Amino acid sequence: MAPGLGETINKLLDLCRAHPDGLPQRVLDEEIPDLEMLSQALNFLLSKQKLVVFTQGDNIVYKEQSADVAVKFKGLSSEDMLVYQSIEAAANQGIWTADLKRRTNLQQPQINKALKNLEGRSLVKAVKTVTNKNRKVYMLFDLTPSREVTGGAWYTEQDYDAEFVDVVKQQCLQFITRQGLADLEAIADAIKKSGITQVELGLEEFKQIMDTLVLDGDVEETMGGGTYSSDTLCYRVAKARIPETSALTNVPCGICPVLHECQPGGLVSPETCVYFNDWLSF
Amino acid sequence: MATAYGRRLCCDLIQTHFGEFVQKVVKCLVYRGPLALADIARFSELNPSTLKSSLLVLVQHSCVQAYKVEHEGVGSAPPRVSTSYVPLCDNILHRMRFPKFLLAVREDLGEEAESLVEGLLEHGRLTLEQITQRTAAKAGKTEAEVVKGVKETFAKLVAARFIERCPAAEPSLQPKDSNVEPPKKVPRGAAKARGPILSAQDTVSEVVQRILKAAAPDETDRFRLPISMAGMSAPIVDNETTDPSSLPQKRKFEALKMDSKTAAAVDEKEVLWRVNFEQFLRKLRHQTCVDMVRTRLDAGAAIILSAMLQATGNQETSARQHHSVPLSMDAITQAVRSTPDGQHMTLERIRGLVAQLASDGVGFLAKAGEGGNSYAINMHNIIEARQRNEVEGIVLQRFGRECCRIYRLLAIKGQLEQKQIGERAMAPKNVKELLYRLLKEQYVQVQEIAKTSEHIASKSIYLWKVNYRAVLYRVLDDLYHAATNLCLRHAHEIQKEQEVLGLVDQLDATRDAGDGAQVSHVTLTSAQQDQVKRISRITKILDASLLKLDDAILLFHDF
Ligand code: SF4
Repeated sequence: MAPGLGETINKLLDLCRAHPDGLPQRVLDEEIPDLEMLSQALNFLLSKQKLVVFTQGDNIVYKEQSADVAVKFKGLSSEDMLVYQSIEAAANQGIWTADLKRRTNLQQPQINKALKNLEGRSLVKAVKTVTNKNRKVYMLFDLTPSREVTGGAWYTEQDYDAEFVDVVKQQCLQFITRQGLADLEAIADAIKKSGITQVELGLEEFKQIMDTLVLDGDVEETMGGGTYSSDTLCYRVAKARIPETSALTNVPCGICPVLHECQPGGLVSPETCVYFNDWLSF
Repeated sequence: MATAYGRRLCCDLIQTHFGEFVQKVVKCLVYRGPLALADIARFSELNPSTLKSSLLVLVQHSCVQAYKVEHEGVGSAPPRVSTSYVPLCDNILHRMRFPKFLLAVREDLGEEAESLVEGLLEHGRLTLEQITQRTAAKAGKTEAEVVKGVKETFAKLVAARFIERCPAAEPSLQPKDSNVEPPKKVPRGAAKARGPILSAQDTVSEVVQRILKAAAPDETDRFRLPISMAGMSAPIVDNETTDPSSLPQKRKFEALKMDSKTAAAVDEKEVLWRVNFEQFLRKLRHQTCVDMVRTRLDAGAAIILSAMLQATGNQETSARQHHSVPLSMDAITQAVRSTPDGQHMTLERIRGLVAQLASDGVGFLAKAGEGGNSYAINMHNIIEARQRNEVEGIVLQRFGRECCRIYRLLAIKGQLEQKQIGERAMAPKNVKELLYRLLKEQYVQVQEIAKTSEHIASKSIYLWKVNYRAVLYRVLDDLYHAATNLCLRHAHEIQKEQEVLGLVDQLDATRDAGDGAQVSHVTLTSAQQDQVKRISRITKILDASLLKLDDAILLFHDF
């Protein structure tokens, strides 16, 4: 005799537990050949929000909703769920409302309502992005926003923290000046130990700092030296700094914003130039 | 590379040194290229005698060179020879560096040499006899009293190549060359279409080079002492074995045939001498190289380089020598040990410093010769490094640290998009503003890579980059522009104070005339005294700044 609906439901849930990564449709079809019964059971569980559907590549998979989560989802409409799933799919990159609209084919008011519901239940959150400060993206509540969204370690509250960067730069430069020669790890170690910042900085961030110091002409790269092997990239204080003065910029014309409009006898002219007045009369 | 403001500055310098009329002539030539006398007359609208004397002044001071062009006869008409004049802009600009030249020669050869060179700079070209007369007059002695000293100094200057025999007055350009004569008129707007580097101007300078070459005496002749002094100091003889049938040999032979006394007289009374700018530039260029090595490496490396430059300088063949002749390790050691600073250097230290100078990241010396045991100085690399340094300093001062960082990033990495630049230069917030500031002053360029045929901005990629040649041009033109402005302002200030400066002149004159016998009627009010103080302070500031600017102009234009 064919199993009843109750048995089918139980079997379905058992199968879900046996496949914590998601129960593929293919397995379901094999285990529960009675299509009519299967669809009834699925509908029941889905409507009760005991089960969620995902797509994994081209496959449809099912997962059981855990008990406390199930409570959170209780009473959400299917539109809410659709929105939720789209947000979930965007992972820690987050998704923008315009994209939500496109994905779900819902109207803006429906989406707004769904977002309100989901935010009220602490299921999703809105995060400001660094790339566009007026644009919020939504992601699951527990997720940590990706580097693209927050801008990484150099951003405080979505704002690039130039002061913080400068402090770290100065510390790195001081350390190298003291040491004479250091590789990236030694620099990172020293700065972390110094406790100037609570922010978690990785080697990647330190490399970024060092690259800027090289571009500023404050330090230079060298291979090996001292106790380092010849294939280690090391840093030392640069010998040839970028000059702090130049003949051109020492005269007013060299830094003059209207140099290219300046003509003898013209509206702006060397004879009447006010910059010259100041320069010559100090 | 003559930039727009370079030409302007030429005219302004001539105006201050030689006045209005001469300036008009130079202006025609500088802006229009080589011209025949009739054309200059037409464009400058000067009367023939003024024009002639103006041209003479310019030729006398090596600011203009005359040359003959042969035109093929048309039909039955015989070939015709005409004379044209080209401006020598480089030489005109040298006029603002005379103080530097004088300082250089005093350092090397002392005050008598300086005074002799000063006379030549003042008069453009002189015979040995005139030089002697001038020295005697200045010292208030007779010619006989000074002649020995003058000749000694003269010989030293020739040996050091600071002075040379004047080039031929009117060399001929070979007929086959005449078809590459530069276009007389550069079409307006052509400059813009070609970008900042004017190829038309380049052709002119090429022609100038050829004319100068045709005018220049043979290398041995150029530094040959007058016959009466032949024994005093042997001029540096070219290493090349000279073909016995070549011109100088023949000339010498003819000279021998002449009554030697007459020949000597001709040599002293008729042969004109002038300052050899090339040698002064070489000396300044060497100084720049040594300074660069000192900042980039250290004092020790600078000692090595300086010694090597001294040992090889005489064998340089062009003003912008790329590489020196190679020196073996032994020769380097010997050269270093013969300098006061290097005499106590150990062999090991010298070797170490040489290796450092030749190392990959530095490249100031290049290995040469078989076995790689000789080294040539790569002057080109040193000068380039110095130029790069100067440009970066200008960007830093003018646009600030972040812009300078972006500039260096682009100079190193080539092309980047705005977003990448913001990240790598750690200036994500204001990168756009910074880039546009650099763009406005032409230190960076931007290129659109359209992905759609309609060039929809949002779908295009914008790549930013540094076009170094364009930057060099920009910097040089700005330098000329600044120097021009300084000169103009100075002239203006002087003119404003004409009245009081006239009074000062009067005062000086009366003071010189009577030893207090005749009490002067002119006195300066305290306001006027302040004016005089002000003008002399302004002059000091402007002159000093101009010389500094000129250091940079030399670096970007002449080295
Ligand atoms: S003269 Fe004055 S206005 Fe003209 S470029 Fe110089 S500083 Fe600027």
